[in-house]
Amino acid sequence: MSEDVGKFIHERLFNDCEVVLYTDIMTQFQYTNNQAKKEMYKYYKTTKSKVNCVIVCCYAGGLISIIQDLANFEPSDDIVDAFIYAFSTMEQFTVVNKPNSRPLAIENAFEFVQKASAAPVEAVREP
Amino acid sequence: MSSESLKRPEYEEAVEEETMEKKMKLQSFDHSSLSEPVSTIEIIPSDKFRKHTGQGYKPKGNVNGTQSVQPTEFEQQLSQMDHESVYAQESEQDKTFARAGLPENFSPQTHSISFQQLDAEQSFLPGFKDSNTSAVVRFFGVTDQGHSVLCNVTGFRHYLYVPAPADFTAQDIPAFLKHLNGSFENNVDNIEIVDRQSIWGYSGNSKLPFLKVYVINPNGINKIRTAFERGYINYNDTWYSGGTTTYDNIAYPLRVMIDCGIVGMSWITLPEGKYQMIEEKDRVSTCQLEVRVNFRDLKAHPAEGEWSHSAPLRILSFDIECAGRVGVFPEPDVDPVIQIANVVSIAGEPKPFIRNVFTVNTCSPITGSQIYEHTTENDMLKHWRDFVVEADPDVIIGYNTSNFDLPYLLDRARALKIEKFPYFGRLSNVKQEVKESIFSSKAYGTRESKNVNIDGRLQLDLLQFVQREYKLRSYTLNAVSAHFLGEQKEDVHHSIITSLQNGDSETRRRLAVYCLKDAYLPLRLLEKLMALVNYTEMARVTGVPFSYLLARGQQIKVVSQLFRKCLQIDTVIPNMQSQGSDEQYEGATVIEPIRGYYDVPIATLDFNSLYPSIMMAHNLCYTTLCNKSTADRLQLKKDEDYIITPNGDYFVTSKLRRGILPEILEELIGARKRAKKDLKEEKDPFKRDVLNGRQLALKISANSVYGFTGATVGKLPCLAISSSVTSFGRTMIEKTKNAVEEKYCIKNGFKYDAVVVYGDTDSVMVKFGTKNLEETMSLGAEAAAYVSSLFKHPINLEFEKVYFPYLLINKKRYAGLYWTRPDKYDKLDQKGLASVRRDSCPLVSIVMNKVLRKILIERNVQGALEFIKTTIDDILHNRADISKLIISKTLAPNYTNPQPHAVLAERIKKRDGVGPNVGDRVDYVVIGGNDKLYNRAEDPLYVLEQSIQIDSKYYLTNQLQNPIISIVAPIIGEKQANAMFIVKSIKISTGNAKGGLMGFIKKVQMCKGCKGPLKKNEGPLCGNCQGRVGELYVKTLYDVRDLEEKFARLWTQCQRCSGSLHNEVLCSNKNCDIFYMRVKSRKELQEKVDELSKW
Amino acid sequence: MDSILQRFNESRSDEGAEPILRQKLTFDRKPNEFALSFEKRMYERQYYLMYQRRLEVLRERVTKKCEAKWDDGFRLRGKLVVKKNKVLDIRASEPCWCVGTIYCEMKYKPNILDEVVNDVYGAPDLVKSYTDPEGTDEIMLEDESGRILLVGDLVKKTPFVSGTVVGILGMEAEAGTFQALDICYPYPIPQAPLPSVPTKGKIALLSGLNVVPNDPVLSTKLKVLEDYLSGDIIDSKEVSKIGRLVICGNSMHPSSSSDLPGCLNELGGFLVNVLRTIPVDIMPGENDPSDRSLPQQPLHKALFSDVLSDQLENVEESLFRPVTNPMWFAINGLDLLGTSGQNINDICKYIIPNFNNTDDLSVEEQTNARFRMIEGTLKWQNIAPTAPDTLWCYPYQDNDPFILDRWPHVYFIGNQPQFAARDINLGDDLRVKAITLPEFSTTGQIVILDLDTLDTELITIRA
Repeated sequence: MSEDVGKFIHERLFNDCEVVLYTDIMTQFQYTNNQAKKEMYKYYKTTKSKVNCVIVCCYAGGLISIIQDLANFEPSDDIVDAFIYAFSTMEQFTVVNKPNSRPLAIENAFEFVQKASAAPVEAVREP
Repeated sequence: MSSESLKRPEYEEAVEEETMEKKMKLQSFDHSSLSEPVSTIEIIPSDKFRKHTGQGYKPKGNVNGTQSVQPTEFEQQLSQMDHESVYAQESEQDKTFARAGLPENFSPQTHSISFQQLDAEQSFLPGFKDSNTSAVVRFFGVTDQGHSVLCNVTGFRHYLYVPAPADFTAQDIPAFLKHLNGSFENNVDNIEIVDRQSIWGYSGNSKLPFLKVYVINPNGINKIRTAFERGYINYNDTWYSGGTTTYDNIAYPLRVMIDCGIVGMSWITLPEGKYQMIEEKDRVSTCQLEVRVNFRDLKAHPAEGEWSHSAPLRILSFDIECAGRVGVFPEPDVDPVIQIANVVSIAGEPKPFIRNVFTVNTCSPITGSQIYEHTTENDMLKHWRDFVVEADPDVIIGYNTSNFDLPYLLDRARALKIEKFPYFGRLSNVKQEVKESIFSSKAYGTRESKNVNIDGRLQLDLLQFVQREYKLRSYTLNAVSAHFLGEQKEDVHHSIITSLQNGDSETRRRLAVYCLKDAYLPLRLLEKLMALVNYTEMARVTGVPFSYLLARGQQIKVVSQLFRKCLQIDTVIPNMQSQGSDEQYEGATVIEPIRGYYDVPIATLDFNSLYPSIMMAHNLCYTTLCNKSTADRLQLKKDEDYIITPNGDYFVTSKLRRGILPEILEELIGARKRAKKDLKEEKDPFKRDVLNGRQLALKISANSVYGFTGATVGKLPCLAISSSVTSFGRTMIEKTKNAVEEKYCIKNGFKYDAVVVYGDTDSVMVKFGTKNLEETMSLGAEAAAYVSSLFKHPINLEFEKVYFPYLLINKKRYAGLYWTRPDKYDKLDQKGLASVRRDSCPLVSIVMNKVLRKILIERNVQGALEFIKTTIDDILHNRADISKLIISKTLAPNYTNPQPHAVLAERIKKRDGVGPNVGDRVDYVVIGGNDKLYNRAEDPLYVLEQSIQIDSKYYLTNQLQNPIISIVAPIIGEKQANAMFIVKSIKISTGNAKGGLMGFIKKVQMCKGCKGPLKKNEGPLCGNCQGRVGELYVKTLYDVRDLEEKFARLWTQCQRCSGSLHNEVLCSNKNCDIFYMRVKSRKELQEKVDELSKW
Repeated sequence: MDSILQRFNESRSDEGAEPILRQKLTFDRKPNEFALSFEKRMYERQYYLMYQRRLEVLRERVTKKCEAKWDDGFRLRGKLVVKKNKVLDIRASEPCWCVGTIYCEMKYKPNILDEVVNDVYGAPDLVKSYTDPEGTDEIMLEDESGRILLVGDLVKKTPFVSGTVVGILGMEAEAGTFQALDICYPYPIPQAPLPSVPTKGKIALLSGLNVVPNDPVLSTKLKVLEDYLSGDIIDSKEVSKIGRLVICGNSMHPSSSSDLPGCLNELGGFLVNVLRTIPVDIMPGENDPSDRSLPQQPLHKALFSDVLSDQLENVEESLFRPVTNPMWFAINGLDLLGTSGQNINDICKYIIPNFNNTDDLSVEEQTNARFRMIEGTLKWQNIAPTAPDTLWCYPYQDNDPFILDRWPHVYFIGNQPQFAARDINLGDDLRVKAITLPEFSTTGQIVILDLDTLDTELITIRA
């Protein structure tokens, strides 16, 4: 499965020239958020290509920081979590908010019916 | 006894404890910051945040501090209050309005009286004779201490002059005197032989013998004068048998003032021991001091230096409210007076000291004012009359009080048979009566008006003052207040007044507040426009009583000055017969304008006071007028002893005789220079007002001297003088034009040839050619000095201003950017354009001003043309604000031909039951249709409510086209300017035809999207537009948003203007710029909201 | 950075977690006094009716408080204090108290007549404050009978805004002026008792999204906010306690109506994902496509149809609810009152002058001033007293929905310069939790309110 994720990320980045968010992996592979974060890290560690990372750092006290300039990042003791949020091949990171159907970490308490035709799940390509 | 005194301190202490306890309890009740200080407020460091810093806030924790400090501060605040003085003032108002009493030890033997005299009138002291005459002049006045004075000046015998017969001697006097007295009831007191010269014409410097005829009773002097002039004196066969000219025909009060050196509104001192008090039984007035003094004993002060100030004059401003019937303007025989508001102020003081309202029926109190309630109208009118007598105002002002309020009160009192009402002048037994008069003057036109005699009290109707001195589109109190005070005033239609009166004490209070406002505004206008100050200075400069200024024309002022000057030099003035001569003379020169749009600076050179200067320079006067035979007889030398004016009249030079008119002018102009110099140095605002009033009065007086000589229906017309003045003026303008063009030309080394592009009466406009503004100003100043050197002193040509750019449309019609300094223009100046015409709609002046601004200020001709196109388009598409399209006319009683506003007034009456009355202004717009114009005038509110189409073509063709073309044609050409309108006219016709057809089509529901017709049962959108539901909803929603804001802003502004949040806005002030906007916004908003509700 | 990423990655759970169910909150349905249908609107009336109604309602309450405070033999300087039923009944020499409406005449208040006369109507409104630092402001007390000018130190120290109904104790000074010595506010109104049993749940309060097309930074922050609310950023268990998201106005910032579709697309994209995991209430704000006048009616669902209807077969009202501004919420037995901020922003223009150098007034001082105004609206018992004078509103005839009949437990105000949360003590153990919500577009902040403890937590997303 990990090879499939890496392939997916690579194609999205270099063939389609698109940003890849960890939520895209959740949508594509129906992963949970933790699984998707792990996959992002794995790709980060293994890829030979040059990609820009966008890191989300969570601090104690409710601060959530979006870090694009990794060179100037200052570690601190009050960081409670950090993960790779996105990969991008371009200097300017731009996110497009698209409807998604990723697995829910928190389910709405109300009935929720989604149209069947909306955001069809793309078939996973077999190796 | 001892035990009683011990109780009191305990009692006081107990009360104090109770109060303290109460306060402590109160202090601890509410802990929030809005009622009690909190720590955070005190520690705010910024001083600028003043709302929340300051004294009195203590930390919450300091309970002891609170207990001890808070009451202390509370008491401190109490001690600082001036409530006692306010209380005393209000109490005093209840007690008396009367003037302060005379000193206890006042005595004619020990106290002199100095008073500013306000008015003069002729009268008699019955049973008293001084120099054989009982005739007196009464001067009403006020002292510096505010005491009212009636001073009878005694012993002055009126007189006239007739030429003495050739063989008349002193020995003939007794017999002639006896003969005259046999014919004129012993009215001639004495005859003296005196040497005088006539003002008319120069005949050498010798004086001739005249008989000075003194009369005992001034009322009889005209009979004697007529007898001399008609030849009725048949003492013997030779003397006066053919009639003779009499001299010095002037009213007795003015004669006394002239001979005593008393000018209007000046101070008079009665030295101690020189005057007598009138005995109580003989008193005729309510003045505190009623005295008599011989005319030789009184001391008249020139209005200069320490005597230039004003006494503390009491000024009463009042307004009445009448309960009218529906559809009828109030009539005194039927409609009661229900409220009278009064404000009394002392001149020079910032605030009124009396403010009250007299009401019929109960009225709730108004803070800061007194309410006097009355059961009946009779009681109120009597009480008001007593109030006026007691308050004893020196000046009574109001707005239209001359024609409405005062006559209405008098007529109403007569209808109610209140016998004692019409006695509120200073003469106790003289009844006030209404007299109608027609005042006609070349300067002021013709006006019908009413006059009420109120002896001893000056009257100043601010409406008359504004009408006389200013040219406005509208003279309603609203329009005038907006114009001069910058305030919109709520206007309540007279039909609403009755319902307010018939409500309760609260609604009557609302009416009283409104009435009080109407009484207060004239006082504000009086102060703002300096009416009292200016007229006082005019009275002083010209010497006439104040009351002459509104009641008489300009001539009496010059007459007064002439008589005063002639008295000094033993000159007499013939009593000319006023013949309405048809003789005309040539007027001023207008240099033909070279029309066009000048994008280079145009210098304006102006003669200072041209006509007065000419009269002074060339010694033109009655006394210097000569003719060829006299010049020959006396062997006078031309151009040395006499001159011949360009139109052929002879005047001797000042070498032989200095003319009286030049002397008067010299003094006026010199005095004005001094006043302007003093004004520059004076710091006191009130004194600055006085000085400014003085210099204006002097300027007006100087300019009126020329007009006096040219008035054919006049006291002393002399066309030789006036036509000579204008002929000199014409010559000088031509000479100026030639001199400038000859000097400033290329062949003299200048870069350009100067061209005089226009000239009128006393100015020329010069194009020097250079584009440089500074250089033009320099050339202008130099040219002015050069031309001045060609003329005789004191003629002076001055460089005044530069127009750049300059649009010269025609004679007396131009516009330009006005520069007096090179760095920044002063203003946009225009003359003779339609923007000031009263019969055009406001759109014309708005568009013209905007176009002129674009052309002249922004230098954007293309932008101006675009703006014109946009305006035309807005009119064609009914987008112009209706308030800009309103035409306003006053309804007159009769019309020969149908007039749009008169026809509309009738239609309104039929439609609404009530409508405008004679004298009301009727506002109308012209609506579409094929009817005659006078049938297509319609009420703007009705047009708005009924969504009636405006006649676009009328506004384009009849209102806008000519003014716009007159501005634009000099720039882009006549043909192109007309083309802007012609094309549109064709479209308009087509539109009208279609409009006619549309009248027969049945109304169908339209699709909100494409405006196509909807099928039955379809929603707001047709089938094709359903897909655009979001887009179309948004568009309508944004319209609603904009209209919501507009509606809210307009109506809250009107609520603020009305001065009350809690009462309905009743305003019907159509002069206000947002009156129609608010109606339109309400209608449009309702329509759009209804549209939204269909989604 | 690598070490940090590695450390947290190793500690991350490998297993696929089951979804956590969102906390469900209890909503009471109550009539919305701010509802104003288009069908029923009438503009053939003036604003004086609203003032009359306001004075009538609040005068009764103020009088009750004044009588408790100043009646019954209260004396000033030895003189008995008397009650005056009407403002124009005030006379000299009598210390007295009177109830009326405050009216402020201020130099920089918007004036459409001046704008029309000077031909600048339609130009952008640049006024930041109405009050004149030079001190030309006039404060007046008014009722149906007339108005009287208030003078004295109290007038300088106390914040006054148009439209509030108060009682003033004092004496007539110069003719037509009234020296104010003390002031009285309306008698306390009830507050519903707090729930006796603890209730679980939180709500998220968000304002000032100010969505515009083509703003990458804002889009990123919005995306991260969406991920946070989904529980995909951190601590999903805690996030699941947030039972509802309330968006308090200015969700969009179209510069003209032609910008609106782009804004709606952007906002719709955010909503369609958020709604999968949390129910949303959305209030209109000043810049949103709703009425300009208060009360603003809910955003029409047609606005969102292009983006939502393709995705959502059925949007229940309880799931996605456009609401009015202002709005009362009844959640878990608590009364919450929210506005999009126009009311407080307008009041502050009466109180905080526009100094040329804004550094003169620190952010902290401004926040303190704003909280005093927020407290003021509670004590005046009118959340929009300056309507209609300077805050545009619908011309109500016989009611004024901005008058408070009960105090809320929580009072939140959107689109404020800074976040703050304070207890406002109204006396007798009555307290209101007041929260100022900053603009997300500039601060990246969202406020989480614990409905049990009324504690607040601030989440800041910084890009």
